[in-house]
Amino acid sequence: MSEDLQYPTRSYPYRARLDRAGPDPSRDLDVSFGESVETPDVPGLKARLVGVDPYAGRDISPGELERLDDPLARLLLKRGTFPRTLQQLLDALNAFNGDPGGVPHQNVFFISEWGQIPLNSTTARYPRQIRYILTRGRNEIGAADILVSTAPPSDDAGIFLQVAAWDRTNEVFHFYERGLRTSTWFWAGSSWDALAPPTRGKGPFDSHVNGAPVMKERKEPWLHWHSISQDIPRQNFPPGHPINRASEDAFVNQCQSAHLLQTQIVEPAVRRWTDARLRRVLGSSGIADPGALMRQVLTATSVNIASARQRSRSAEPDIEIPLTLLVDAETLLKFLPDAPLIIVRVPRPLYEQAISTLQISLRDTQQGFQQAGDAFFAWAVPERAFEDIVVVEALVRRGVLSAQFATALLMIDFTNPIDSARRAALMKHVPSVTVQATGTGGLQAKMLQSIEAAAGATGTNSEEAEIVRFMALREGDWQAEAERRVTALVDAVEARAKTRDGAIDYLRLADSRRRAFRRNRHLAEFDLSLPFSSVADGAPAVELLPDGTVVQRPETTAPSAR
Amino acid sequence: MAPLTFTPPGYLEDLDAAGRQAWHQLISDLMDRAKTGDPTIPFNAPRPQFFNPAQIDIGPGAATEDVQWTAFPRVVALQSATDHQRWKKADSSREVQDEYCEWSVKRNAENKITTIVFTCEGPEYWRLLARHNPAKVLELYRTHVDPSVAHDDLFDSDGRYIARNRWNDSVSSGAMHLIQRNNTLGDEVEIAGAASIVRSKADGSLMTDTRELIECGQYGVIERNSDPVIGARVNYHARNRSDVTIADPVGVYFAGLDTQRWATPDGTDPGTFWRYTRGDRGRYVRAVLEVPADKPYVLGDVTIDGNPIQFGGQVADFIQMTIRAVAARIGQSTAKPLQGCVDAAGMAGLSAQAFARRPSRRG
Repeated sequence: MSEDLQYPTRSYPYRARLDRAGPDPSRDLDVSFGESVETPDVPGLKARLVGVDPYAGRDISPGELERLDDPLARLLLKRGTFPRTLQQLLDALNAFNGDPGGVPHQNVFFISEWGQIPLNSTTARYPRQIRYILTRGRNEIGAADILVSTAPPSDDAGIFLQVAAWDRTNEVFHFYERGLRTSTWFWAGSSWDALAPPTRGKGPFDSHVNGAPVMKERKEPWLHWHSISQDIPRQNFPPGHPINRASEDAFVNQCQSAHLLQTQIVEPAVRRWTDARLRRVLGSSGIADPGALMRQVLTATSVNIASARQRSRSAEPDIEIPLTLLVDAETLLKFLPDAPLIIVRVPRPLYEQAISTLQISLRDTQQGFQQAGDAFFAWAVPERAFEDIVVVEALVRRGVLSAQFATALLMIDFTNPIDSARRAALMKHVPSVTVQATGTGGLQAKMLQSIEAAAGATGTNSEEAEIVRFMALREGDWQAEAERRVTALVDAVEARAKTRDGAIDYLRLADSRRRAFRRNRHLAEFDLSLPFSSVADGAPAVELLPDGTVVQRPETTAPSAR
Repeated sequence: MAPLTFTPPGYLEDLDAAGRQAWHQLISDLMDRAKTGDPTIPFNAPRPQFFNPAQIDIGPGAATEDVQWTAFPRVVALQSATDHQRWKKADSSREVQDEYCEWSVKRNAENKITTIVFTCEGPEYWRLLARHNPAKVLELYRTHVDPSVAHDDLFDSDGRYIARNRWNDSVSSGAMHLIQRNNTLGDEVEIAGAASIVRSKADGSLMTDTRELIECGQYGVIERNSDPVIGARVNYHARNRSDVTIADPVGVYFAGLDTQRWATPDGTDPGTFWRYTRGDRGRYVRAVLEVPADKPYVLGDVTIDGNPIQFGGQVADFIQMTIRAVAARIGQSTAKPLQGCVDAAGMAGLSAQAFARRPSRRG
């Protein structure tokens, strides 16, 4: 099987998804689809920042090399060790296990979008993909300094090998990729390169959008991941599959639950980078680029994938719709500590009817695979990304935004927690010049000035007027108002979810968000990440209204995912 | 290797020779019961792949797996809208702390937390210890809970040990060992036994899904963190045609505390505030979290993700619990998968929580 076919975007140059509609001006391909991607096998370390450097890379400068102080660079690359395979990489790291700077503790996690698709005579002919995420750290429990993304077999130089490594000195992640079938390693940039042109959204930063490790299916039940919620058994892969080779036994036996990857590795990594970033960005000289922060409040710079806890095929009587389909629950509820428990259940018969009506299916369009029905866990949907949530939280905690102002902003078009054009339009009130973090000349103050001026000009129904009214509420009252509006929405959705049309509508809503994900997000690397439907990819988006109805979204420019 | 003698949990040395023998027998009996299951309940037995290592040698080439789960009670999380709500609820009663980890919180006059004590010692051990050495029980309470504990606080007029005594039944006056009704070694061993049954579905394929297994096998509480994953991992090894059991010393242990998201006022590593006070050789059964007395701050001044520690539940989020499963004679089992599921109605003592739906909104 072709490794390239399995992982079309895992080796730069990243290929155009010619089967997808829609403009993609940010792509910067310098080779066309299908062209050879191999480079000479010259062991060494080169720089290759996509959007800046040529595909073959360039010599890394002495200054860049000096600034690489992560364990991969320190222990291997700067010492002339250039592993070709995962096994060689691990063996090389193991040589330093006794050193104070070593990273001896290893964790292994599996992810496979094929992991729960039954292996039978029909599906056996499709190549099944499974990826490893390996981490290495100094301590047995806790932070990882190296995160490796790869696939079995671990002794094959033709398998992609990508590393994000934490540099404690410079407080950044460095991103590396081993060249295809070579011992050439490419430094693809650091976390700061994710945040601004010409490298933002390019190369590794098309999925590591804000410069930190990413776990798309971050929360329980960790769809597609091996976890305490679901096993990815070897029996679901054909006997000849690389995962079933003896060489992979050690990884299989060591595989741990994704809940540990979420809580001990990825979430702390995102927080670690965010804290380091904000310490620098919120310095005494002011915020040089307020837009870079506020876009993570007002837009969804990236997304994660949530799902119901219930399996799509089971005897469980109801499906609990992921709350983040309806509201930005994880962010908003941080500011509403007394919010009531919200659960919206769709009776299973209505869920199954909606699945059938919308002809929900799993597909791998490149392989020609299609299977009727939902993903293993029901109602998978894109939701606000943890890396955006953490920024909102940090800005409030540091006093840059008040909880009330953050809530006021998030309550604009709150029924559409991602990809809201109305909320994104508020970016026009973000200063385009350096501004103080706090105080009367601070970011919030400047934004409020602009919003208040606009409210005066645009009438009572504008987003700006809504914010001004919200900000006039007293402490206690604004929380109650936000809770009232969220509760009213959920009341309405809860009632409709028990009807045939309502269940179909909320699945249409999920489907609309899935289509937008596939169309607009470079993170949409694998078709099987989210189900398809009978609705055409290019069909108009729908949105949720506060009365619980789902309607076609007015024609506006789709908010930028960048 | 000869069949083994079960060691007290955590390698504790409270028991004398007679006590250790009694402990060995207790665990061996639990193992035998878990091996037998209940043949009167369809598809609850037989359990050909589960074994009692005191009767049958583990043998060479066995593998172990440290099954881990988060100590914060998942059932509480499912019933709460916000972090603050779930932490508060988890701290409200030992009855909701059902992940084989219970805790008690001490606060100062400013209501700031100064100390949190976590325990995962099973009640069976303490009942046995109380029978063999009541003086030792008193001594341990005085050492680990409060020096003023009196004999009559722990024993009734007939000399029977009171597990839910005033020093061990709340979230504020101390926690010596587990008391929540599902937090028993007996349950843990039974889960391993029940989950060792390899099951096939109607189409002949093996059942592998975590939830499907616990629903079909009717072991433990579905919505906990612990029971489903313990069962899933034991079953995984059974599906690999291994004989399975639980490693000695049988028990639930603390796998560790992750403090990387914590911050202290003076930059001290918060991990140094966590110490194990009972257990040995990586099998720890009691932990205390507190700031040394010479520091000018208390635990309540330490932050997690920027939030001061106000609840023991906040800490439980970062504790992993573990049991060690053993897979022996790997690949050699000839046991045939069982096709069929345990009937829930036929399970005496089935926990009502096993099928409990979450409360409707505003619960």
